[in-house]
Amino acid sequence: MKLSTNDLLRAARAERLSEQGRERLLEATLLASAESNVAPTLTPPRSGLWWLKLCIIVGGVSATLGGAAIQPWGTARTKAPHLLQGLHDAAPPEALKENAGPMDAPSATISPQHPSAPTVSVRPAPRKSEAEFLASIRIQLKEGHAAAASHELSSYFAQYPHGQLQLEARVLRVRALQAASNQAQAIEEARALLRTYPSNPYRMELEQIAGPP
Amino acid sequence: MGAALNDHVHLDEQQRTIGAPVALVPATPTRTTNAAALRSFVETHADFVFRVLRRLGLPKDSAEDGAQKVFLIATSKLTSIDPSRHRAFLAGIASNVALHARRTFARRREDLTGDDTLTDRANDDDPEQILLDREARATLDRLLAAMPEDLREVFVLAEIEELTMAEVAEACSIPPGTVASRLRRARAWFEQAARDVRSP
Repeated sequence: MKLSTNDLLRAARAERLSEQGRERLLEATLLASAESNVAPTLTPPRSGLWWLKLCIIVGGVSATLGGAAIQPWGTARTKAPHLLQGLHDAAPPEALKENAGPMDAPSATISPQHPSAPTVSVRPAPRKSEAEFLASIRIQLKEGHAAAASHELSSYFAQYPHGQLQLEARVLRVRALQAASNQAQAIEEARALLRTYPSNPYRMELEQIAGPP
Repeated sequence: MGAALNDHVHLDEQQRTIGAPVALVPATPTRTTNAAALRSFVETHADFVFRVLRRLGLPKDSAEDGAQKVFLIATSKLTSIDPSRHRAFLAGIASNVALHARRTFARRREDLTGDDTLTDRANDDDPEQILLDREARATLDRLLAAMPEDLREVFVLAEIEELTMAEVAEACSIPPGTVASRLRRARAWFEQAARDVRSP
């Protein structure tokens, strides 16, 4: 077959990134951007425990300066580093991200009035990243485990109510609903996504699922 | 950006439709705006970056990986780049990423000329047309692989991706006059090579 120069150039211009490649690219870029923004978000005291840290520091300083009058805080003189470490352990940087949900920071009950209480050393189980969540959901869907995928999606939305990959997760939810033969809800969710994100990269797929308005 | 507004709407809607717990942390406009802007940026230029990497010699899978590298590098410097220069900026990064990847492949003695899987296309495309395009791209890539490196980069950006002379000059870090002369030579080289292919 004789291909003209124009045929060659036109074919080259028509090439597109695959849908899967596009999804991976979006995920990787958004996550990398989110991670690079961690430092600024750590600056303001976003955790509700900021006052406790302040009290511990003030108590520690007072005790160091011989402030025996503040007896209950005297314990903080020795506990302070551990407590701060405990707080640090209990609230990893991810938990202080803006998109971290209320479930992220485990409730570390630290009472300076009970010096005999063991030093908090709560280290939360390693939290799945957004990309890990979505990757496992994709695998589950691919293997036909719609219920497991749906459960995983619920966990994702609970842990990342303001996640960077909300759109991707909601598209996966549509696919999970379809896989579970819940066509009516899949259509409803697809339409909701199209209303919310009229020009999203998954539009073609969502329009096919949503059907005519 | 309109998408940022949509993100706020979407939070309420998500809680309603998905049943996620009510968030205690309010949405942060800056973050959602940044995410929406970044998503739009990637979506706008993803195909362009992918094609540049492909035509500069990367197979499909490597081009997808390369595109991730390009956008990771680009997003770290994006705020200092005027939107009108985005394509030239991305093309410059893509060119470096492709060069680096090809050197790595060369060190590993891997074959870059193998056939790639068919790139996904819209569902309504004619299968025959898809096959024709595939054959055309394979032919084009064979020709480009034989083209001198300095001409190839200019040819891909100017002739295939239709960047302006100024954009190509910026992407390749060469003067516009050099772009023009290289493009002239590249076109002549390509026409001759295409003629040779058509009439073996």
